[in-house]
Amino acid sequence: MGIIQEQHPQRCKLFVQWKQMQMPVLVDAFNVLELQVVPVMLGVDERLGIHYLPRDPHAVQAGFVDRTFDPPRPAADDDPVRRLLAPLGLESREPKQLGAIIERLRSAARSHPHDGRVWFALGVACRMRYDSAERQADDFQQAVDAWQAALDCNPNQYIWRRRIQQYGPRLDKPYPFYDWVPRARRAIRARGEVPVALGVEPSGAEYACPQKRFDAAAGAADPDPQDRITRDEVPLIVAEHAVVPPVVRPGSAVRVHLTLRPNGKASGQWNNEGGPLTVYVRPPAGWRASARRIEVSGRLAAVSDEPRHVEFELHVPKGAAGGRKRVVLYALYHVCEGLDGRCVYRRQDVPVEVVVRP
Amino acid sequence: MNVLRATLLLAAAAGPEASQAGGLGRLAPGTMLPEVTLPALDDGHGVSLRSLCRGRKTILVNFASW
Repeated sequence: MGIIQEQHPQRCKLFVQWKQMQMPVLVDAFNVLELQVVPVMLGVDERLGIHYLPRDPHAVQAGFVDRTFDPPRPAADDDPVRRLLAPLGLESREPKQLGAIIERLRSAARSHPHDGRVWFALGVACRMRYDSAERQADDFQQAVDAWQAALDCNPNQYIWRRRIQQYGPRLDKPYPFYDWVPRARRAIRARGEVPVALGVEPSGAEYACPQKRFDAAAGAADPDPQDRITRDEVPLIVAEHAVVPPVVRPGSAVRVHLTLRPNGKASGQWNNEGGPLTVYVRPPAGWRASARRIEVSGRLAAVSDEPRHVEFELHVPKGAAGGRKRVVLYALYHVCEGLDGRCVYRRQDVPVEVVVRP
Repeated sequence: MNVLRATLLLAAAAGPEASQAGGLGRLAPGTMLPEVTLPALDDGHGVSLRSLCRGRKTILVNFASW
C-alpha cells in the first residue's frame, strides 16, 4: 500500500502510471499521519501492528512476512488537532468546502499558534483553493505564509521544508522536483498509453535545477521609463503574485510568482495580434534579479483568456537592512474588452514587497 | 516475492532521501495502525487504513512523486 503527501495527487497518478506500480495508493495531502520523511517503508501485521522492515529486501520474507508478532499497543488518539485534521482529506474533494475548511484552520491556528500541523494543513487548503475555481487572489501567498509558519514551529520537518523549496528560489533547491514529468510522459506514450492529464502543470520553480551561485540578469531597457503608458484602471487583467519564501535573510534569494489573468467580469481578453506581454523588473539598489525584462507570447488565436505565469528571482545583498522592501515591477500588455470591444495597450504596476529578516 | 522486492526498491528510488530513523509520526513501530480514512488516488473514495490492512501482512510505503 502506498501513501503520498502530495499537494497535487494527479502528479502521483502520472508517476504511478509511469512506474507501473501495482498497489493501492492513498492520498494524505494534509499529512494527518504526521510523517516527517520520505520515503518510509514499514510493515503492518494482521493485527495492525506497525513494524520496521529489514533494510535488506532479501530479508523481508523471513524478517516480516513469515514472522508472528505480539499484539500492538494502542496508539494515543485523544489529540484535538488530530480530530480537526482527520476529515479534511475527504472534505476537501469538494472545492466549495475549501472556504469553510480554511476558516476552521485559521481559527485552529489562533488557538494552537505553535502547532505546525495546523499551519501546514492551512497552507495545503489555501493552495487547493488557489488551484480551484473558488480561487482568491492571495491564496497562493497565504499558502506559502502558512507553510513557513509551520516550518518555523518545527524546522526539522522535512516534508514541510520541501513544500516551500518546491516553489522557492534555486539557491535553496535540493534537486529539481518534477523534472521527471516530461520523461514519464515520453515513456508512457512509447508504451502506447495516454499519460494521465495533470490538472495543474508544474511551474518553472518546480522544474528548476538547484543553483550554487545566483545568476543575475544584465540590466534591460525600461520599456516605459517616463511612465507614459495608461494604467489599466478597470482592470481588464488581474495580477496576482506570491513571494517564496515569505521572509528572506540577507544574502539569500526569493522567487516571485506572478500570474496575470484576463478579468472575466470586465470581459478582458489578451489581444494576441498586438504583441507579447512584457514584464519589467527593477530591483532595489544593490539587489540583483534573475530577469529584468520578460516577454510572454500569446496563442495563435487573435484573442485568448488564458492565465499567463511569470517567475523570476531576487537576490538580497548581504548587508541589506531588515524590513519591507518595495520592488518596481510592472506589466505592459495588449488587451481587448470582449470580442467586439476596443483593444488597448495598458500598464499595470504590481506592488511586490519582499520582507527581509532583520 | 519478486513483486515485493521490486516495490521496496522502487519506493527507495522514488524518494531522494530514504530514512527509517525517526519522523514516523503516527506510524510508530510497536503501535497499532491509526484509524484514519484517506481518499484513494485512483477514484477519490475514502479508504480506511485499518480495513485495508486488517487480516494480512501489508508493506506500507510513503513515497514522493517529487
